[in-house]
Amino acid sequence: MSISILLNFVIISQLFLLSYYYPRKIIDRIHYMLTHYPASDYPKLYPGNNKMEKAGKSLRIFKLISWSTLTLGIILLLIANITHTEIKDSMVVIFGLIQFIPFALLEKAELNHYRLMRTENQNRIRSADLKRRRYFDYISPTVLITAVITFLCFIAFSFYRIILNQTFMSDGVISLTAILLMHLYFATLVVWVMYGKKINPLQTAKDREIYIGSVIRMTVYVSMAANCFMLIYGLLQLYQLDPWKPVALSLYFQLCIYLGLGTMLRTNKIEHINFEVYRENKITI
Amino acid sequence: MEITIDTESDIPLFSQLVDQIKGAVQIGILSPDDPLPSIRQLANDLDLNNKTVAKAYRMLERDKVVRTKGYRGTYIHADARKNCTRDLNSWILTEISQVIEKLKDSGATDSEIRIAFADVMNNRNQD
Repeated sequence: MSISILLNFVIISQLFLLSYYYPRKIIDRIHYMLTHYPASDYPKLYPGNNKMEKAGKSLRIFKLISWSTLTLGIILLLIANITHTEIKDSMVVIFGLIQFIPFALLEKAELNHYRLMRTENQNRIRSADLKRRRYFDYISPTVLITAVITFLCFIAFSFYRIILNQTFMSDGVISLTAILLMHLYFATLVVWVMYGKKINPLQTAKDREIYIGSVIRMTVYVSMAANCFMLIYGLLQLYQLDPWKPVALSLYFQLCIYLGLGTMLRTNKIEHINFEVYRENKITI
Repeated sequence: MEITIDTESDIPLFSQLVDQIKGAVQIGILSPDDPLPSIRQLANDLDLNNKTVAKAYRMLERDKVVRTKGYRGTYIHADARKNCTRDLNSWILTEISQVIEKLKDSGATDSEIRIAFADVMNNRNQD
């Protein structure tokens, strides 16, 4: 099987996962919430004046952008095949980032939603779990050690490349900086989620524990994936296996969405969330 | 164990925290050497100021209900259960009442006692 056929399959898989499968899962999740927990019974779930309309609007925008990205991706892939245009890694990167736009917009809408919830929250009773949160309550040491090993392997490989190239602004330095920044961001996110203020003011202690666990697992899995990908990508650059680079990039994007969003959806199922706190007569947070 | 506070209650927030932690120790929900959440964690979870939680922890440490092990955090004291039953407020009231009675017997007036008490407290705080 030639690389171009393999690349076509991989990109179709990327289009399916990032612009159909996971958007579909999120749409189903929001739809489930809108139908099972309406504003009439759960008014605290829909802050603001427009109540459910706002959530519906966000859902429609998300759906529109995701489906448009999918259509655009299919058209671009067809054009590339008809005109025999070589698909470069930069194209995969740009299109991958476009595919992540609806998720970023949805995240922003979710944060705004919680901000409104916090503004409208008039509860005088507040509660918290009297249990110290520790990192290893959420993830096994074996998984973390594996992540650290992949990180150290990547660091060692980067230094090898820097020494090999004898230049400061080499690919090794760039990828090393990118990975370090990513880990810094993940570390900040984990500390914020574990010890920071509650994003959702009405979330129960149990639901918060599940959410924290999901975020920690997600960051560790994505970190491992990123370290491995950067290692593989570096090797491809080193041995000048350029045709394989878009394949590796596309697989990396798919792995990221599977380990990132996929982990969040798998571990934080909507059926298990306690929605009783959003009822009018419920005063405990 | 879940801790609950009422932000509009007449009881100060730090007292609510102290009372609930002592209550949990007395009924055995919290045992010696059990870790307590960090000040920052509890303050953020309850949406309180860090100083409020720190004050509650200080009060508990003074009463030997909790002990702080440096950077490792705050733990329930080994004698916490015994120390929880001690009512420091009532002891203070008894002690002060006895002193006031003694001063009055010596002929001191209420205002003289108040001024003297305020002076002593102010001087202590300045130290």
